[in-house]
Amino acid sequence: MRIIAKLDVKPPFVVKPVHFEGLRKIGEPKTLASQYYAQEADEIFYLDIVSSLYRREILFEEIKRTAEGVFVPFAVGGGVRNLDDMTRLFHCGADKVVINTYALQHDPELIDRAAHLFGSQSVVVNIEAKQWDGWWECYSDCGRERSGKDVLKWVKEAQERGAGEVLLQSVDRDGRKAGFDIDLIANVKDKVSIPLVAASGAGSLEDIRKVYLEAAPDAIALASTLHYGICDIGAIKKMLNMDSKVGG
Amino acid sequence: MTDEQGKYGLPLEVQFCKKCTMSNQRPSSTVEFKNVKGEKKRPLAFDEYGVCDACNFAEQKKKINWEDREKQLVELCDRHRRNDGRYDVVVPGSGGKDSVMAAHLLKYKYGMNPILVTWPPALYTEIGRVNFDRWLEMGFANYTYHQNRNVHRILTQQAFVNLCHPFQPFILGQKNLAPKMSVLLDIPLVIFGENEAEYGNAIADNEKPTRDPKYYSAKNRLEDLYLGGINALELMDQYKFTAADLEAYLPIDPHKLEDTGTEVHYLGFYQKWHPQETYYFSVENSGFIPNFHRTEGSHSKYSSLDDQIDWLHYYTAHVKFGIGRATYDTAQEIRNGDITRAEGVSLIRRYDGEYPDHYLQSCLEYMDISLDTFTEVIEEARSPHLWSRVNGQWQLKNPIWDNSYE
Amino acid sequence: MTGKIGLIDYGAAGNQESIRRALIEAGGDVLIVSDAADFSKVSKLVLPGVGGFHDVMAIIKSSGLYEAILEAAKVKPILGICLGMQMMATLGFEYGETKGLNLIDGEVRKITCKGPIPHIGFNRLEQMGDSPLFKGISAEDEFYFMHSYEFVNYTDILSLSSYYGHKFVSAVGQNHLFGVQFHPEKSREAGIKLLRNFINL
Repeated sequence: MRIIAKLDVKPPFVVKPVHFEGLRKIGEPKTLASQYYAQEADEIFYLDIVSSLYRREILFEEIKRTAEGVFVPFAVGGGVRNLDDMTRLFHCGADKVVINTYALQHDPELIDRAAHLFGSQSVVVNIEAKQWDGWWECYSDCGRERSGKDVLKWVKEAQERGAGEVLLQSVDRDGRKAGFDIDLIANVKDKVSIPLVAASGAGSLEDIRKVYLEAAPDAIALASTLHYGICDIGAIKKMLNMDSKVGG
Repeated sequence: MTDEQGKYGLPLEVQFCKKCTMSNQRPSSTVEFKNVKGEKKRPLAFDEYGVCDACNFAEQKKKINWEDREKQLVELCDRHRRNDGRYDVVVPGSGGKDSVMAAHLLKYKYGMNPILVTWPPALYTEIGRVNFDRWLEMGFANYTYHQNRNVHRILTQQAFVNLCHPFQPFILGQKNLAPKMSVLLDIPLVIFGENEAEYGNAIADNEKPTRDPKYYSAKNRLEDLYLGGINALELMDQYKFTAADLEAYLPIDPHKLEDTGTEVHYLGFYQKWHPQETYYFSVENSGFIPNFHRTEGSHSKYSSLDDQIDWLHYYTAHVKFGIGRATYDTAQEIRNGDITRAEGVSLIRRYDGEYPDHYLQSCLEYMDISLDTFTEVIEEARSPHLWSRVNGQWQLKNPIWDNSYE
Repeated sequence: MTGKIGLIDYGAAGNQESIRRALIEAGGDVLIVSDAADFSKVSKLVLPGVGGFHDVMAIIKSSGLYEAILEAAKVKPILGICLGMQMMATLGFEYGETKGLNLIDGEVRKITCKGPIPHIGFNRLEQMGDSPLFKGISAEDEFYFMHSYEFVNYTDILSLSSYYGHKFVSAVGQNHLFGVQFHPEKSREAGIKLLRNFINL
């Protein structure tokens, strides 16, 4: 299971919302990326969480600066609206692009076009899941706008359109450090055959162990856990090796 | 209105603060029980640099010695703290982030024994009810005054129809209840979260820790008091209300306050108030949760969530003053350094004045008015100096995002 | 002197910046090559990954890079990364059948195995033989993979890797032509080491 460091960015700061609300500053993206890289994070995800919300152009310089010296995969998203945006991101140091709002609310076919041009494996679909009674809804614009779309249906559609990976976040668990939404993760894992990155909710080694054993995502993305120094990546990897399963 | 003033006595020329997103159309808090139709509002003041009072106050806040202020709070608490296990402070609220933090801090940090009091919204939202329960789950008891629904409904209806101000009955009770409970329970100390003066009422209002008694007390001469824009005596006559029916909305007799020794304080005087941090405090120290999705009329999910009428309130503010919930929320966030002015402008452009679809039907049913009446009232309240009709749609003449205006 | 390393510019696709930085970290002097005319300025070439076989082959064909690469391949060392490696094959099957550069015999087919596809994550190499590309690289070193397709080849295998029990070719080599399925630019020090080996050939 890969351990990914997730940076939620409101340029020029990494911030940490709770339930996708709040913009409390944590530090500078470049500093944190370097730090987590040094701590042996397998990948770094950089998500500009306000670009779509503010209807603003992507701030490429910030991304280019952050990518420096990070010799592990650097996935970038936030406000991506077309193939040109993606090309520019790859020219700034991105290795994968992450999309949500634009594909979900306006143009799902963007996923198909991106998969054709960049290959499925470079296209990550970000899902902000909000739980209702008996189903999860896809949200956009940093956990704010409803879409009416069912997570389980959308994730299948995204895969069919060519997405190569899913980043699954939970509006209900985000920033709460009270555990992952195991039910959500297991349900999504059941629906897709592309790799699943589970996020939102980790607050302890035990939470991580639990999601690994009960839902087996292909990777986890950590934010609060790392920003607030709750667990370190070395300890997580050590624990996971102890529970190692046969895999990739 | 004179020739130099717009509707509501507002300045004809719209001016936006150079630092935040607030405009000179924003009215200061009114003494609600004197509020009648045609009342001139006192608009937000700007200095010679084009910066509003609220921003200037935010600057001043940076120079305040907060350690010293906290000492004053500790002294205040020391003075009122009881050692016999009885309640020693009244904390009003409804389970929003401010009252969550106030209650938590007073009990767990300052060792007080708060009793919570609530003037509830007429129409609770689901999120409001959830957060109310979670507020109590932190370990508190609560007195809630459930208004006479018939009375409250009529007052809300009249406030809307006469003043386009459906929120008035709520405001009246919110300001009045806690001092009254202080007298009833014989607990002199009342502590509210923050201080609405921070947002642009007279800067002088911010120099004291206490709320000006003019907002919640008056010698009770019914003939001088107004509810829903109607004289109290007339109301009683027309709707057969009794004195008891109106008591909850009327200010308390100042003598009673003196006898008890009631003091109404703001926590915002003793602590550097940062609404976003209050939100974080609430989610980190209680089961408080933000709205289930973006709040209509704004980008925000953490502010003012529990009252369905609130949504309508902000919509009417947009119609009357050209500023809606997004303007209020962004202005506050800019002052507190959470977002930039440019970001605020984008959000206002996207969300301000959004039609309150979600709860409109519910509010109309509650007030017992038709959609037609609603539209009539809205259109009558719309300020001509702010709006013009373009292609069959109302548009602000001077929106903040209009570059040529900057 | 090792001379300049030409990093092929596919225009829209390719994680160019990551590779450029990694090559520099490995001690390379990098020139981004978008034009056939630039080929004479470089002594080695790198074909980036992050692209779709069909779309990128079309870009290469229409831009004049196709002929230039084939010509350069006669004498200049080439390192193909991920898609770059795959395009060195004879035929690819991503989004339809597309002819590759045919520099190394083989076909690029979709992986079938019981694990999630694409194969994304760190994995190890089982080196076959003693390639200069892998100098100083151990069996424990891990490299980053992200691919849904594999290079099917039996004659030029430099390393194999295993994913959910499925063995596949993770590196190919034929004289001065090399292809790696993984991303050395994203594989920490081990990847930098491999790039340095290529630069110093």
